[in-house]
Amino acid sequence: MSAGKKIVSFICLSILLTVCLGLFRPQKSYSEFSRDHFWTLKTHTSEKYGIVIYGDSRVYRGLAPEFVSSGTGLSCFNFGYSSGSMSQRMLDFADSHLDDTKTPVIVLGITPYSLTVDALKDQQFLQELNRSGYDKFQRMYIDPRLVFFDKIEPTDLFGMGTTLSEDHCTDGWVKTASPERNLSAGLESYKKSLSGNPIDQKAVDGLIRQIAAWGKQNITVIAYRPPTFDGMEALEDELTGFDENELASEIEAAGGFWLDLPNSGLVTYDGSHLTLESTIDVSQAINFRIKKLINR
Amino acid sequence: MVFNSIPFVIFLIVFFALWGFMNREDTRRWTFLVVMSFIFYGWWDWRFLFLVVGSGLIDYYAALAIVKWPNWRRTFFILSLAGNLGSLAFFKYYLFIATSLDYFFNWLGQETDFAKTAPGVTLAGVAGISFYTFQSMSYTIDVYRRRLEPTKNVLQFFSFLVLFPQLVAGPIVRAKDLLTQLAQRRMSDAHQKWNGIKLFAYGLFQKTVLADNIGVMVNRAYSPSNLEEGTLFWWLVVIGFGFQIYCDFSGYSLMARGIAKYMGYHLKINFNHPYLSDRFKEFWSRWHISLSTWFRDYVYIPMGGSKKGTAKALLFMSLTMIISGLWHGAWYTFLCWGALHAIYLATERILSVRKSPTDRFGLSKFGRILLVFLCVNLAWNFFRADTFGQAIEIYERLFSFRSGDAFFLLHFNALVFLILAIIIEVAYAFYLYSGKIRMTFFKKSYDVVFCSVALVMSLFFRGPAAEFIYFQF
Repeated sequence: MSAGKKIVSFICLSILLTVCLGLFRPQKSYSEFSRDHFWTLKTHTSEKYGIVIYGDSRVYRGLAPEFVSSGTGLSCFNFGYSSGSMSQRMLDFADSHLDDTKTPVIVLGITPYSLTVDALKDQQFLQELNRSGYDKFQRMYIDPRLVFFDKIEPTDLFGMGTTLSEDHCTDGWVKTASPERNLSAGLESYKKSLSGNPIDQKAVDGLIRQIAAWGKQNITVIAYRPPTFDGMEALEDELTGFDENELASEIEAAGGFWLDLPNSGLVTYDGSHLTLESTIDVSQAINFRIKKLINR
Repeated sequence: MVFNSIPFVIFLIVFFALWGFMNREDTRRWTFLVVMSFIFYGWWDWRFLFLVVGSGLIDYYAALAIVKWPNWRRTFFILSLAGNLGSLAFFKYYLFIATSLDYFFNWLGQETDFAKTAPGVTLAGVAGISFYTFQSMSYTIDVYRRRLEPTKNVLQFFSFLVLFPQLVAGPIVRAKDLLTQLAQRRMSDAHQKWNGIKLFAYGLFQKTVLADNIGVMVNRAYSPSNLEEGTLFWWLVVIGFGFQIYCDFSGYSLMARGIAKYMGYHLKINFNHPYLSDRFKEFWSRWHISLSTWFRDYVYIPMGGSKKGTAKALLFMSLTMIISGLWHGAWYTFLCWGALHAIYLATERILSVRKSPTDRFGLSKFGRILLVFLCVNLAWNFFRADTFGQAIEIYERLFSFRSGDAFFLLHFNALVFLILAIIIEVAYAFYLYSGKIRMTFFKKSYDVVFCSVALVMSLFFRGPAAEFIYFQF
């Protein structure tokens, strides 16, 4: 075969293989390109909403904006981040996305970890915030068009990949479904991340001050401890000294509303994050409270 | 910009769309190559351009002055060397020198903290500084030795120095090879273009599929939070890094050669399956060939080479290897890596007056290859470790024969690609040693299939995008 023919054959064969592999690829738990687009959009969007949800991974996985805002007439976005803290930086970020509706609402999912020294570094948020101009451009505008080329891993081919499926929704929610239940998985990693990582009292004080300031601006603040399973709560309380009742009282005294959501009846798939069904239940509970408060 | 990125794909399309027209006339060609190469390099940080331009201008004018004023040739030559080595010392070795001085003064009982005063620019690292500095230096050295006529055209000189395919990670090209190619209009025919495509596709595969995927396991293993102690795990990590760095650097060299070939230029082979060597000397004639020959021609031979007796030859070789270690990185671990290779080479040389030491132990060719492979991989641990202490700790784990935790599932993806990399090298060995397989391969045009598979795998089986390891050198 001549070199010219080889080049043509190479191009044709490469296109054919690309199309075949792209179309008949094994199912993946999430799209890498959609995920990158999701986080960059969440961080750099200038959109404003009537209801702003903020918290850590238990919040961005565990609150569905479409259910939270249902019937309120308000737009809603979930601004949760991995290890998202209750730092002033993040509270200001949440505040900057509130629109000028008459009844703005901020929903804060407060985990003990979100008040710890390590969480206050806001690593994921800052990593997204500090991306180069080109990186942002690529993630915002090019990546969503490349989903066809999402990568395949050997574990996908051999059916050894995770059974967790993630859908990165346009409202900031990561819709997560997992057929497996492994409560001890979360316990192990939280034991590591909470050891020697105490709650920062300054962060707690700052949070209370900010809730009071929001109250003065007629912004409704609904705070809650994202439900998980009892074993996890006990571990978190023990390792961080977190006192939920005390925090709830301080928030209520500052003008916020504390929503007590018991763990009973809710299910986690990894000992930390809620299953899809439980996420919808919690979102509906918060929706009920919002409607009650804004229609006072 | 890196080769495996979307900006580079766009850059390459623009480049080749204009290349046919720009290549027609000398000045136009050189200007185009320089401008495009500056865009390519400035994509990292436009401030780096001042350094490469400064370094280049020193050598361009020094070479002209060496020829114009023969009585002052030595002075101009020293000025050029001082400029190049000074820039390397400042931008690459500042922290190393400052830390070493701190150690020294602290040892003498004096409290110093030079390392803390290191300017920010010396900490960030300048992409490819060692490559283009060596390339630029070789030009002046060759002119000084009267082996090369300096070019009188600054654009031609810069098109040699900053030619984008090989600017940041080699191969290190000699002026006498590339300046002559750049002096004419060279057109690539279909055969060269196909060879260029093949080299690029396979290089991309090596980098994105093999190196980047294996790198996931290696990077995790060498992170300070990793507490894995199992001996088998660490052997796989060390061998994994051996393949990661090989596929990373060889992949870049292949892509660079492929692009150059498509343009009509020929860059010499830089890696020739080094892990199939059965002697350490042979390993160094197959690994990073352009650098090994650079050190041979500009360091080892000028010191005296092997003409002054075995003892001095060993000393010169050891010094060359240690300098080579420091060229790779400004830290003691790199120095140890160079020294360990010097020990390997010296041992081989001492024991092999007539025979290779491995021959003496009665090892088969396969045994010899395995021995060299394992020794080379053990040395890589110094290269990869962040600190001397970490390297020693890992050596202890390698020989502690502990069972460790189950790691197979956690690193399944990386291990699959490590096995694939090993299979490819073994298959190449069969290809190399079997004339029958070689002939079948040529007759059946399997290269089209291999090339397509390599390209498509690079699209779908890529690892997490990582910069080429050698950019930091």
